[in-house]
Amino acid sequence: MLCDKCGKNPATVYYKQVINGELTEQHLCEECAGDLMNFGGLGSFGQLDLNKLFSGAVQQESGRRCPGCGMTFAEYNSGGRLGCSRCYQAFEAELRPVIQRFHGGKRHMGKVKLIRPGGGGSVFMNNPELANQNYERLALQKQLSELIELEKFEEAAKVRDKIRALDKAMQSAAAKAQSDQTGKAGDVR
Amino acid sequence: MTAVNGAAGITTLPYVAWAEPQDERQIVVSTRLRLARNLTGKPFPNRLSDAEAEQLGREMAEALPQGEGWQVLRLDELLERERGVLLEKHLLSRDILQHTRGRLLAVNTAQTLAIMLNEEDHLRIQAILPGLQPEAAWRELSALDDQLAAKLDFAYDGRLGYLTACPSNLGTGLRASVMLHLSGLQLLGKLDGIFRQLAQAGFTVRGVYGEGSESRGGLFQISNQVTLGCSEEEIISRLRELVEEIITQEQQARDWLKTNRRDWLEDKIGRAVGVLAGAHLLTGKEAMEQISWVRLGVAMGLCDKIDWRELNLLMLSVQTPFLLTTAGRELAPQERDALRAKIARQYMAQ
Repeated sequence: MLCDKCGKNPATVYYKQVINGELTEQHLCEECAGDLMNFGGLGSFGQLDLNKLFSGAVQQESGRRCPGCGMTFAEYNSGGRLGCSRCYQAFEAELRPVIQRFHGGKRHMGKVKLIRPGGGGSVFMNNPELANQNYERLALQKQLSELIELEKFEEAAKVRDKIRALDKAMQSAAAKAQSDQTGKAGDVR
Repeated sequence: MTAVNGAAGITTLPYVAWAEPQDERQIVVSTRLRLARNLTGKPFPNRLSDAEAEQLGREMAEALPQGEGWQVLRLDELLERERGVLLEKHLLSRDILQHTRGRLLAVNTAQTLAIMLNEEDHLRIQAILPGLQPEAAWRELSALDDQLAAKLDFAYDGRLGYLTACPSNLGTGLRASVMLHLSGLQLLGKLDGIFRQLAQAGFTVRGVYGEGSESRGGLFQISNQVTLGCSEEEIISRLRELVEEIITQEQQARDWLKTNRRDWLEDKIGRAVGVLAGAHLLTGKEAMEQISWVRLGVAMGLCDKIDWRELNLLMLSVQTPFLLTTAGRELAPQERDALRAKIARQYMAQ
């Protein structure tokens, strides 16, 4: 591969730059890479107005709106109240430290919401035990994907084991529910 | 559901369930538990227009358990003094009174259960009982929560629990609080240390009217701060442990006073009885101070002029909203002080 800039020498340096979330990638020869580092790259970066860069990033962040109610995180910051329950998903990353500060980063251990009777006629109907396990499983799955994303594989393996154990428990609970209400289909995956 | 404002004296009479005597130690006045709940897919009340709030309020009121004598009050249709009465009875919060359009209060006949609709959260469900009864209050509250959950779709997340307008209420959405009379510890200057310890245990101390209010009449509210990461039962048993410990300390303070400052104490209590029984002008602040002395006397067996229940009703009756209700009109400050003194004399003469 030849240098992206001069097109003459072989490219030996991979140059990646992220400004305001915009990624630029270049494959350069040593000579051109040196130029960039000294003048076009680091040199000019050193003279960038960092405040502007930072506030730009913040503006971009606060401009994002919750799809549920249209609230921005800046509005939450000034009022202290979220706009709807979907805000928790929309601003998950921003809220994580807030929740950590209030509650110490633990997960819900209290009363589990029951899946509403008549809501689709699933096997969860009128079966609080199974409904609780289902919520538990949903939460664990979310936890698992987070841990994998963070490359915390050891913890992820523990969560995966919990999910497997839960699956077994759910299968036997579902089988029991099935035998209780004979004839009704209820396959839990 | 029709709104019957003020029926059965909910917004006029000083009677409340929590005024009853429950605990012979006579230190804890009441236990109040509340749950914050919201509806899936609806903006929180602060993002609703008045018309939307009214519509949603009606829908939520439909979900109230049938046949249990629930009264639904439209807060914007109440007189200011009626709203004040509900506040004094701890059936609603100061916050909900900041904007009353589309805001409702549902109260059961016994006045032990109340639901604020469209306060900070769509539903603020509370149970309030006399004395130290967090377990019983939780049973009632949780059962009501279940009944409502059968008809309403509450916003919930497996990891964060019940989703609330303020992240400080996430998870259980449970705020469990106990109102105590701690005048012994107050007299001995021991409260600051205890409150610091409570803060370390994740509990806060507030005045009688909740957030930001100061203490009156030696009464304090202790409540949990953390709502996520622990079960409701853990919150409740922790609260009971802490309150039992504070009760023991308050009893020790009272014993010390009785042993070492008996004359002084009996003089204070006797004078307070004298003021309440004989004054013709009584400010709200002085009434609360004298009631606190008499309360201490009643609890310590040093005063039998009035009992715990009547004292609670007296405390309510001398608050301004009740005075205005009794008079049926606005009162100038001196008229209030005169009426307050008259009511106190009547209570003490019984």
